[in-house]
Amino acid sequence: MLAIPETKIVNHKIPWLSALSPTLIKTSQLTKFFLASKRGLLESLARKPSFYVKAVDHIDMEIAEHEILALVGESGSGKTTLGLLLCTLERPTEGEASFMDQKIDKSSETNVRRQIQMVFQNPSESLDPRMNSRGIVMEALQKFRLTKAEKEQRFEDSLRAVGLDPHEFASRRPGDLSGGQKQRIAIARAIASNPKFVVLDEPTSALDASIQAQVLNLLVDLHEKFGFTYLLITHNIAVARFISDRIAVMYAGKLVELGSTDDVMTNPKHPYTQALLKSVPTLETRGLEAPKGETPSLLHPPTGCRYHPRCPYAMDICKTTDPELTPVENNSVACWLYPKLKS
Amino acid sequence: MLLEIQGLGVTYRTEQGIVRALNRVSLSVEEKENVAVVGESGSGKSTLGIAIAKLLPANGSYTGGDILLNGKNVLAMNDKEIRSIRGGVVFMVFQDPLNSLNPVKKVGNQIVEALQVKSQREGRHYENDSREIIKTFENVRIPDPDAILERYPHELSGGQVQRVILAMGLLMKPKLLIADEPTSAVDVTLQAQIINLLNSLKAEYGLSVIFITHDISVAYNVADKIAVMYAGNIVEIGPTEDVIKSPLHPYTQGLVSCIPSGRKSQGLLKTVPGTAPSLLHPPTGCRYHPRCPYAMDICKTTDPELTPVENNSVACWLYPKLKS
Repeated sequence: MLAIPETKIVNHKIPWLSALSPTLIKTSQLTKFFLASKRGLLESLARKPSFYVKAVDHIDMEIAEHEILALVGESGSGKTTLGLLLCTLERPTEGEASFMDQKIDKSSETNVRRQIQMVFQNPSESLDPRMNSRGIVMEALQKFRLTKAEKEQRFEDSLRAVGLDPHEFASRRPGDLSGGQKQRIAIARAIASNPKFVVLDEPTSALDASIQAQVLNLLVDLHEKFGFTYLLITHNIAVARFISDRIAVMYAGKLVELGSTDDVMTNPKHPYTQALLKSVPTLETRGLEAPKGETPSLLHPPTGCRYHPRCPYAMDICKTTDPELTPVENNSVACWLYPKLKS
Repeated sequence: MLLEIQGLGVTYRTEQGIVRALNRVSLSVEEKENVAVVGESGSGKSTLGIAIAKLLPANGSYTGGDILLNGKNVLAMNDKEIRSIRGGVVFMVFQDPLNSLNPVKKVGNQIVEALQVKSQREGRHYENDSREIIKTFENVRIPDPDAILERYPHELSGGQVQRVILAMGLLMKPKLLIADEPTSAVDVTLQAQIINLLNSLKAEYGLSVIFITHDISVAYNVADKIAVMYAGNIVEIGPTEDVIKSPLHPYTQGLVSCIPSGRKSQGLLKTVPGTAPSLLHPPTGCRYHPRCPYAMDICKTTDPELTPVENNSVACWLYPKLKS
């Protein structure tokens, strides 16, 4: 049976959840640079400089147990890379992440991985087309010391948990399933090992609107039943607002704002968050306001605050010095507009 | 009336059988009108877009109906007549704009080439006027137009390429722009820029736009009129405010209410049970009846016609006007 954790799920209405619930994941100055230029013998002999894509740039954040943190940002903002770092699927260039007070490094990686699972964007690509549903879910249990009967039980429990009949679906392959059913199998695979932490990378982006609603409801239901901690990576602000307790906004590899969902949605502090929210089309009101320009290349990001070339409030200091993430009212913001930072 | 489609049917021959992609679709577009066609994947919305420009793939065929463009029937035209319409009267913008440009030619040369071909077909001599091109680039907010003209497509960002295509479209001075998911591959801030651009160009260039999208919130922000498609049928059509704020068809109601608009503490999302049917073997009667909470006996046997109800037109047996 999937165990229901002993700790009671804390009240979602309290904004600073992390102060009340134990920290599950903590990052300090977490950084990932990818080498962008090919570097062979000729290049090093010619002393050509190397270029790096600064995908995740010195990020400090915490994720509390049982919380749902939404990581929002546009394509190329580094949100997927941050997710992979927290899943131990990428190793940081600098800085570190810890999982339940244990530093994630080569020696602890295997241990940490047992408690983390991931659900990817496109279930048609993340499921092996030649395996049946039973094989797909059971494969995730290989590294766990479970008897055959226990594994079978886990398979049935997790399929029931995602709303599929295990007897009907056991022998079906991804090709026989609809998009929504495939994503349910991917979620069943993720929860079968009863992980503490589940990274959901755009779990509904490849699905139609009516199926997206079913999957979102399922994720809420599983969170309430089993108390998983979610990191939901999404570009869809409406999805983030619906499901999350806190929202972290990324821009060009940097965390620019972090706060409770209600605060970030109703009272965004960073000019980028403000612009992002005004660009999102909704069914409530017509008319959009778009910020000028486009997201910068991460090969040569702007100096200082990376948003300054697009920011309507840019000052001199923004062009030269990168602001740190600092508490402003209920949120944390990295922006020179808030005088607290300067002191 | 710029475009009038009446009872259009399109099928695809596949190895599995005949796919009925469009089933008696009727739609009209006035001059300077933005019409959004909304539907989930496989609803036939892209087929509708390419069917208008007679660009169906080899396995597709028309099974009935008429497409009247400026009063002339597109389906009765020969290849030469069709070519004079494509680009000049109807211009298409696709989801991935990079596929629409030639990767080995400079952007500026490609635009000049398109204009030359258009002039040739109209029997005029083309005079290269780079000022007009640059002015149009400025209109679609391309920064530094002179430099962009000298670049290759891969040197531009996604947003710039999409704008180059739009600028090309405007230079061709079409009457109708068909945009198939033009913002699905771009970020939300860029999407907002393109939506605002399309809205402002309508007045400036006297353009009608058919905007094909799966995102009903995008449709709400771009369109004067919304057509909702389900399994190859238009199930509801009407002014944007009416379709979104007081939808009549149960499918439109489901589609509008399953978009997250609040917090989970305010309750779970409403869902549409089941999945869209295969168009190889669509359900009998109303194609939505297996998923519809209000399904009656008549829905299972007879396909309802699109009929005016209040401000919208709807194809649903719930509205008694239809039965009479």
